[in-house]
Amino acid sequence: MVSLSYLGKRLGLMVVSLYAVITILFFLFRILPGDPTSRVVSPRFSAEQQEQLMAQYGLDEPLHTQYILYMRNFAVGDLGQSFQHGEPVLPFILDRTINTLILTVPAILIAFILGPFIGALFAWHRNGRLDNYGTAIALTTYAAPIFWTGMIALMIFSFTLNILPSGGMRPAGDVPGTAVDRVFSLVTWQHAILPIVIFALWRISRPILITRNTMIDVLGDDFIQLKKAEGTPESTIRYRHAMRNSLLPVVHYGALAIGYAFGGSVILETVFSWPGLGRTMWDAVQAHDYPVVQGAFFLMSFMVILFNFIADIVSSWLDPRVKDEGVVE
Amino acid sequence: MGVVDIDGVSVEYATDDGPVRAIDDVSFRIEEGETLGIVGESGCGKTTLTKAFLRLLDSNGEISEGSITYEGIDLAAASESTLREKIRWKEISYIPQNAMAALDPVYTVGSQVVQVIKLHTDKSTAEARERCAELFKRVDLDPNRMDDYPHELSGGQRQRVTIALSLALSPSVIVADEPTTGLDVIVQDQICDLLEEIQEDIGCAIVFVTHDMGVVSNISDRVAVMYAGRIAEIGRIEDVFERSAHPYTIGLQNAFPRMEEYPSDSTLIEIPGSPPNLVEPPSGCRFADRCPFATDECRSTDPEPVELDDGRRIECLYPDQREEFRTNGSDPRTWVPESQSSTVYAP
Repeated sequence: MVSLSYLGKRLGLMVVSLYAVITILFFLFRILPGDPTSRVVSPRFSAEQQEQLMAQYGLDEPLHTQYILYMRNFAVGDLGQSFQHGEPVLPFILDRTINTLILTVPAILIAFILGPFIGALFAWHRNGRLDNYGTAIALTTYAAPIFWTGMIALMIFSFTLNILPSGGMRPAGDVPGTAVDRVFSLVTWQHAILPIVIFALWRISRPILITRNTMIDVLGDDFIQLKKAEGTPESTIRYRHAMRNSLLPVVHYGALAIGYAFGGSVILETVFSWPGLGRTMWDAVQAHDYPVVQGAFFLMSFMVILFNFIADIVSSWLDPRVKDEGVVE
Repeated sequence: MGVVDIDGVSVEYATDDGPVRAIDDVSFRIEEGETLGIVGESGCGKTTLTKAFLRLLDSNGEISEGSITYEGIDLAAASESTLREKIRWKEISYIPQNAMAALDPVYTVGSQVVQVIKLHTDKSTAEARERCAELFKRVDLDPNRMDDYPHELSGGQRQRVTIALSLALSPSVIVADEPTTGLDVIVQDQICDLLEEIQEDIGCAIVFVTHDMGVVSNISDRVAVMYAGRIAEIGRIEDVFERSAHPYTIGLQNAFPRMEEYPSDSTLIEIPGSPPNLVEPPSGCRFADRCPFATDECRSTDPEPVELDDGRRIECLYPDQREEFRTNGSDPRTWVPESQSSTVYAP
C-alpha cells in the first residue's frame, strides 16, 4: 500500500517542481534574444501606439510586478493569447494536446504493457533463438528513425496497397469537430492507426530490452531458485516473480517516455501531417508566437513532472522498499 | 532402508576449459529422521550436491551418472512435472543459503508462505493464512509479521521465515544449505536449536550443509566430509570427529578452533596447498598432494571406499593406520610441506 505521508511528500515535491518550471519559463522568455513584442508591435507604429500596446501586454511594468502578474495569471490558467491566432493559449494548446494523445496514449500503452511481457519471454529463453532474433529486431526498431519507418509504412499501406489514409486526421475539407467528436470518430482512428503502430514499434524496444536485461539479473537471484524448489510453475516464476521484480526501471523509463511523448512526437506528427501539440509548437517557434511556445513548454514540463509523480507512486506499489528508503538497494 | 538413496552420483559442469566433475561418484543414504551434516571447504562440491539433489543445478550442470532414489522415484531422471507434483516441497523442501535474498522482495513474507501452501493443497486463502500463522508461531515469529515485507525483518527473522516456509507441507526431508551463514553466533545457535526442535516434532530428515565444524557437530547425527567432489569420510558424528580416520578429516579438525581448548592450546594448524583442479583431477587419491602421509601408491591408485567396524566409510588406502595418522596428525610439524620443512627447522 502507498502510505499517505509518502504521497504527501511526492505531491509537495511536484508542486515545488512546477513552481520552479513556471519561474524559469518567465525568465527564459525575457532573456531570450529578440524582443517578444517585435511580432505584434510594429516599428512603424507611433511611439504612443507602441507604448499603448506594451501597456496592454503589461510589459511597461517593472520586472517584479510582471512576475507577480504572470504568476497570478498562471494560477488561474490564463497563459495569454496567441500572437498568431489571437485565441487564448490554454484552450488552444489543450485542444491540440488531445490530438497528440490520440496517437501517443495507445502507442505507449501497447509499448509498455506488451513490452515487459516480451522482454520477460526473451530473458527466460536467454540466448535461445527467440531471444537472439527478438533482441536483434528490438534493437533494429529502436535504431530506425521514425521518419524513415513512417515513410516506408506510408509507402506500403497508403500508396501501394491503398488501404489506409496517407496523413492528417480526416479527409480534406472535413470540418474538425469538438475534441469529443474527434476522439469518438471512426475516421480519426482510421487515420491514427498507422502513426500509432509506427510510434509503438519504436517505443516498445526500450521496455523489451530494459525488462530483458534487468530480468536476466533477477533470474540469478536466490529467491527464484527457492520458488523453483517450491515447485512453483514456470509461468508464475517468470511473470509473478521475475518480471514483477524487473518492472521498476521500466516504470521510471515509461514515466519519462510518456512525458516526452507530448512534445517528442514532432517528427511523427510532421510525417503523418497530424495537427498535434508537437507540430503546433514547431509552428509557433517558427512564427515567434511566444505565448504558445511558452504554453507548450509548460504543458510538456507539467506532463513530465506529473508522470514522474505517478511513476513514484506506482514504484512504491511495485517495490515496497521504495517508500521506506527512497531508493532500492 | 534410507529415505533417500544416493547411488554413484556424478555431476558435471560444462565450462570453457572443459567439463568440470564437481561431484564424482558419490553414494550415501539419508536415513529417516536423522540429521546428516555435510562439511567441507569452499568448492568441495557440497552446494552442488544439494542442488543436484533438489534438481536445481545451473543450466550448464547435469547429473551425468548415478541415481537419487526417493520412494521408488529416481530424482535424477524424473521429469520436471513429476518433481513438481510429487516431490518438490511436499516431500523435499529447502532452506537456502542466503536468507537475505531468498524471499521475493515485492511480496509480504506471509503471502509467500500462503502461495506455496495453496500451490500444493486445496486450502482456501483463509485456511492457508491460518496455517501460516501456526508456522510463524512454531518458529517463534509474531504472526503479525506475516504482512511485513522481507526488508522489514532482520536477518534472523528472515531465516525463521524461510524455515517456516520449509515446514509448510511437513516434508520428509529438509535440505538446509548453510542456513546459519551470515548470522551472528547467538542467532546461529537459536536457529540450530529451532531446527532440532522441529525435527523432533515432525520427524523429518535434515541435510545440513555447512563449512562450520562447530555447527555441524552440534546439530548432526551423522556427518559426511567432502573433499574435491568425493566423500572422504562418512559416519556417526562422534566417530568421525573424535576418532577421525581420514587424513583430511584430521587436517580439517586441526584447522578449526575448538572452544574447550581455548585459550591454552589455540594454535590452528593449516592444511598446506589447495584443492585440486577438477577439470583434470590428479590420478590416485585426490588428497594425496596435501596429505602428509601420502605414499607413491596414493598418487597412482584410486582409493576404494572402505567400511570400518563402527559403520563409517572412508576413502583412504590405509584405513588400518588411522591411529597412527591421528597421533601424528595432531603435531603441527606433520603438516609442514616437505619442501619447506628444511627451511623452517634448520638451525
